[in-house]
Amino acid sequence: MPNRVGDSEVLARDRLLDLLAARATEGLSAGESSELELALAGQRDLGADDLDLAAAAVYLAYDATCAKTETMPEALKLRILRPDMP
Amino acid sequence: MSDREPLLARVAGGDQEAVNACLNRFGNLVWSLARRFTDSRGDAEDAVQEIFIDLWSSAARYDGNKASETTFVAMLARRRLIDRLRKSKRQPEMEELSAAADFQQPDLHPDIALQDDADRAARLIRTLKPEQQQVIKLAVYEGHTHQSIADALQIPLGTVKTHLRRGLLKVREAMLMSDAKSGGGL
Repeated sequence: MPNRVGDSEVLARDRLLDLLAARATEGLSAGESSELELALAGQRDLGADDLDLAAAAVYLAYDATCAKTETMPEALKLRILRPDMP
Repeated sequence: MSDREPLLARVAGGDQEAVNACLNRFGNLVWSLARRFTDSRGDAEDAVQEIFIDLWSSAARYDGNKASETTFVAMLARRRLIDRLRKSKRQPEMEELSAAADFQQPDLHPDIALQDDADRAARLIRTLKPEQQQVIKLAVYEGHTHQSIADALQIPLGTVKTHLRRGLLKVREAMLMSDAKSGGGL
């Protein structure tokens, strides 16, 4: 039944991509995170971070267009650079 | 220090000068992201601290063949902010839906050089249908949930998911088609 096997592979890949896209945009529930972890285990062509990186690049493209970047407060920088960090 | 000089490998090695440079190079980007995803300045400050702590411990995972350092930092920041948003169950207020035609070739950003990754993403997005562009912008840039986008645009939830899945995959493929990643700020 090669077609059914093929269909199930397509469905599994679509589900994996849905989970990766959801994580990159609105986040996942604990159950979905576990499902994603299992789905990624057998993957060779898709990395766990692939769609998150794509979403980050898209964000940067829009951010550059909208130019809404704010300057980070100096006090916050100093707080992050405390001697116990990193 | 040049804006293109790779920093994350040095951060992973505990180089304090690289840590300072990293904060200077990516601070405004992370802060702006945090301000978009949080309700208050205090929440944004807490989130930024968490993001940089995460960055110090995740820097060794950076792979220059997959994305620029800026894209990697933006990814870590977005992931943490999305998790915080999800836990708070807060939704950004639905701004007036952006017309897809508003998406223009980005100008050079005043604080960060427009990266190869962002440039490829911009070019790729402009090849998508207006409805796809709109869905991607609302979900990725404006932070709306899939359901709220489906409701606002009056399209099926499955269509929103399909647009996102296909769009992000195309962007990823365009990024990977890059001949060589600089590994630096670009």
